[in-house]
Amino acid sequence: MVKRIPRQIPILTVLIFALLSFGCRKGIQGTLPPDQYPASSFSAVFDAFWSGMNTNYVFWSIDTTNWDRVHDEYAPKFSRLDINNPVHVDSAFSYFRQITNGLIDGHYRLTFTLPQLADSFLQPSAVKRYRVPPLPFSFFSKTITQRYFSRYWWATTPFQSVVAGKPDTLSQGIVAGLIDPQIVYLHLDAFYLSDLLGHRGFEILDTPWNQFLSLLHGNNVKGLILDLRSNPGGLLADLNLVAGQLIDSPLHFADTREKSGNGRLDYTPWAPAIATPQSAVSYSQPIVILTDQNSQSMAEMTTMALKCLPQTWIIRDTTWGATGPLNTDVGLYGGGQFSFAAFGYVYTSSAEYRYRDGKFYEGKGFPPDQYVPVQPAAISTGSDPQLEAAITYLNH
Amino acid sequence: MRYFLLPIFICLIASEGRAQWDIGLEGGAALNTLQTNIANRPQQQLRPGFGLCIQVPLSYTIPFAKDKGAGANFGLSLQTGFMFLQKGYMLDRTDTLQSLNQQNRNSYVQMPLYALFVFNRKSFSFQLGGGIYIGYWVGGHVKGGMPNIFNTALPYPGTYSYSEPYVFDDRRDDRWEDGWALKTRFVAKLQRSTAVFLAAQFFQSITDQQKVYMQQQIPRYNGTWTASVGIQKELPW
Repeated sequence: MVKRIPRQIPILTVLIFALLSFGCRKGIQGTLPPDQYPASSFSAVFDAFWSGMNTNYVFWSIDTTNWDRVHDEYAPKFSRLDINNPVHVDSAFSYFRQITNGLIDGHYRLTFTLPQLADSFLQPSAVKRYRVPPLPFSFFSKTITQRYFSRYWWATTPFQSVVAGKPDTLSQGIVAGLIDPQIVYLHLDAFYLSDLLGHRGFEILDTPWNQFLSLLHGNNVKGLILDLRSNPGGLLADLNLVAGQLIDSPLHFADTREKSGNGRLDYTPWAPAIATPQSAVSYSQPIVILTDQNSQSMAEMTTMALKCLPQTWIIRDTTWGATGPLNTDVGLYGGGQFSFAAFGYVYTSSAEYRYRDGKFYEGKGFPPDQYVPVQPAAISTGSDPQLEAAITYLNH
Repeated sequence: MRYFLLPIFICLIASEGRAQWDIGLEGGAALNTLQTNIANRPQQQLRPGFGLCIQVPLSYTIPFAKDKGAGANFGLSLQTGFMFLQKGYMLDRTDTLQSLNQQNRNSYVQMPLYALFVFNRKSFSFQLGGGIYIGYWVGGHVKGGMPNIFNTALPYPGTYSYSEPYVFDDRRDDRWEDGWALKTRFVAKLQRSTAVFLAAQFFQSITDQQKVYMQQQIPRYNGTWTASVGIQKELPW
């Protein structure tokens, strides 16, 4: 069969070759690491901060802050500031406060290396979540022990650590005891035990911890009260040390994922967050966890892990809402903490955290099963309505 | 400049000939490179990744000139068809983090449209040309290791291994892709209506793998080579 070539075919061929010749994609321009921007102007400082947040902030999938609008609104404002003018430095601090105010990361803290701002920091969650001051350790070690406990041991010790990129002196306290009839009690005012227990200089912690373990696995125990009120968190390794005493098989309680690229929504797959057992026997008695608004980070994660056990009951108040885990190994994870333009440091979570129920509690806090209101008058007289509610729960 | 003149030349010399339709089946391997910029990411590098290529090509060939002395003729072949193409890449960590990597294998259904110049002899033909394509990202698979921040008991870097389907994010992932393509084929005729062929193709996307969802977004493009073998049969049209 013989056909003539349609006239359209040669024309189409010309078009295709023209497309091949001229149809090219735009170039691929990268971005600088935020710490490599010059600190020569506020424009560069803002660009470094804004770009670093694009890359390193792990909550863009759930945070509703319009980061592009931040750029459009604040880039011109920063460009009008003179980095050598002290008044303008104050203006910049004010802008940073406005920019970060809506971020949901409960750990987020912005500190500055500029001498004028060296003592200043911004912590958006404190503005939103701070309602009452944390209970002092003496409330747990003296006030309530003398009133409610039949036997108790306590210890506290200072130690050095690095927080938000700066060396700091912290403390670790433990209160362990027995409340009649046969209710075991443990209070931790921080989670640094795995770094301190068994180490020279911190032997003081061994006695209350060992007494707690002895009581926990003793006979005729009616239940456990784990008091994590006013606990600001600490080391991830303490999850296994504490929660691991109550389980005899791995406990998958949440999932985490990290940043995998420069885009705000570039993430790794979800990895399981698992508590590893430290005991050959699971704890089958009821567990009551006491939390308050100042229960943060590891205190929240420990609470959430143990809430997966059917016998756990949480009393008092919604926690702080800082569930994203942190690690100081900045190069290992795709996001998290970063310094920008030799001007400031962003302390932020290294991974996004999703609880076993599929929900995110970052910036919201983990709710209790039973809400017991704060009663300052009662606390000032040495009574503890939340502890009493826990005792009542375990006795019924 | 010669490439600009070639189609014009085709137009000028186009003449009568016996046009033919062919349909075929081919399969082979694909080598894809993800083209982006991660120079700012610590201890990370991209490597090309392998995948599969399966295609059902349909071609319409028109001879338009004959060199009787050499026993050859020239023609134009318009080719299209559907293809399944895996576009993979590796994201590796370097130095002390070598256990952390990710193998991405993204599956696309593509439809290219080519115009190929055909040099035809009695027992074989050689084809070379270019075109455009449109593709749809139908699925993906990721496999590798990542640092699990809760694996505090494991030795550094606490690697968690995974192998799972890629989960699309409708806010970010642009599943449509288009671009330009090059193709060459060597066709050996077995019988009057049946032939086998070797083919090589290159697909260069000109659309970002991501929707425009943020300012200063760093684009990601696929550049994919394929090599395949196949068989084709002339249709009696």
